[in-house]
Amino acid sequence: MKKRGIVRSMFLAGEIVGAAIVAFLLISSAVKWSDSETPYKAYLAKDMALVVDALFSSPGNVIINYTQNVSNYYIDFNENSTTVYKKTQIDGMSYKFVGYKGFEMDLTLENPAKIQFAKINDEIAIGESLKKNLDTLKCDETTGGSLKDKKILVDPGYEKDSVKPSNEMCGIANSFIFKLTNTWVNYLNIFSTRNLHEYDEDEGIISINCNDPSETDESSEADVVISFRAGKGKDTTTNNIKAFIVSGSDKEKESRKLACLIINSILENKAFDDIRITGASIVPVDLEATDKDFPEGIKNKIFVMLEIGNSESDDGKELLKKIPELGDSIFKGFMEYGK
Amino acid sequence: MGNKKIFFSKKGSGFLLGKKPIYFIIVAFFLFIVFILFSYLILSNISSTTTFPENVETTVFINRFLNSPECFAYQDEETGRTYTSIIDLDKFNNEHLNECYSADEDSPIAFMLDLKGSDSQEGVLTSNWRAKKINRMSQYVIIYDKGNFYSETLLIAVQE
Repeated sequence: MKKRGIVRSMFLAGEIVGAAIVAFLLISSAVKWSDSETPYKAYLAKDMALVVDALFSSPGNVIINYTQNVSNYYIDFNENSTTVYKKTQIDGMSYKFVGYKGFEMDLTLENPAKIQFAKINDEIAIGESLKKNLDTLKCDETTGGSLKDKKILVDPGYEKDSVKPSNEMCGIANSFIFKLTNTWVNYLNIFSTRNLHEYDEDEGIISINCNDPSETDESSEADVVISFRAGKGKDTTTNNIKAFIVSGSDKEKESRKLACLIINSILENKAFDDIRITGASIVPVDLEATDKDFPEGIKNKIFVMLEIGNSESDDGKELLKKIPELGDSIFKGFMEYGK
Repeated sequence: MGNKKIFFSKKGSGFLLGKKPIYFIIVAFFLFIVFILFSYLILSNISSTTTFPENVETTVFINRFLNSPECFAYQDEETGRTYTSIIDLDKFNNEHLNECYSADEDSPIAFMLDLKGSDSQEGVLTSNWRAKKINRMSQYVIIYDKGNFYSETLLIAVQE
């Protein structure tokens, strides 16, 4: 009887321990899952996966500022899913998205204050602060070799009702020429539609004589022609960058690529962050039908006429004050060509 | 003694199963099932609180097929402009579809797309298509075919 009593007590204790274990598992599981953060993590994972899916669906450039509070979480993005977790991925919630073939991403954001999602020129980017410009253009990656040894003609244009170039355009042209000859191109390969100052061998500088109204006829020698104008739009709310190229030219593709690189270089220049640039475009022009004044002999050359900003608008005026910065951006566009 | 519950052999060398251990095994199994069901219910509950509104995800993907130049959307080579909801017939093939919708086996949604009036053009499938639980819908689109534009109905089968 004594043994049987012990055995019964043991089973009773076993039952209690077993029940306690099961109850503990159920309760801890319930607490874990019913924790208010778990549904929120699941929601964030799904929501961000949907945002990425939406990025892939966008026909053009787009930047999305994600507004949900994610500052308490780690967020992983890989090639086909998002995972939101607090300490380790074990407590994380994941959701899948479907990208383009070959899409790769391996990114972890730790307690991000905010998240930006962007699709710029078919590339997906995710980060806390992307500093991307929606207006940047997609440039042809295949066309053209380096312009380093090419003969470059710089046309600073002229003001309306005057044969002199405007101070801004001449300044931009000279800033561009200075950058070119100072680091990259032999000064003998620089030409202009205006008279150039004598080459200063001590300083290694060549520049356009902005006060000389006479024109030269050197375009026939050049391989590349770049012309500068300030836009004069009646709509003062717009401040666009336009690059005119010659439609049907033998060098239309090359011209388009150079125009694209110059525009992107201007748009990505941090010096213009405070200036509102409302748009950017490349405009193919039929030389026989246009009323715009183009330099002579450009038909089958790499040619870009850059129309910078709208001089009638406040933003355009501010932009045209940034002469060295514009010269630098145009120079960087040249440098990018052929890389 | 033979009719009573015996848990240990008298010789102390064996272990005889009585009713109570069997009871424990059944209870443990039952509790295990309860635990699994409980977890499943909670997971389902969490999932239901974060469900997308109906068709949102599907619509996003269909928009990709119609709006993205990487999928079927017609893009003017001269200007680079993409024309949304205009399908370039040259792009309407499995290769292009799976380039822009790189699904694996676990991807949540699969699609089969077909042009209603096109005899020459076969339907296209995403790589995760298994022809199960299909919802069907249709959408009017414009087709670009070698310089010509015409309207057509796009038949969309969705497997979720």
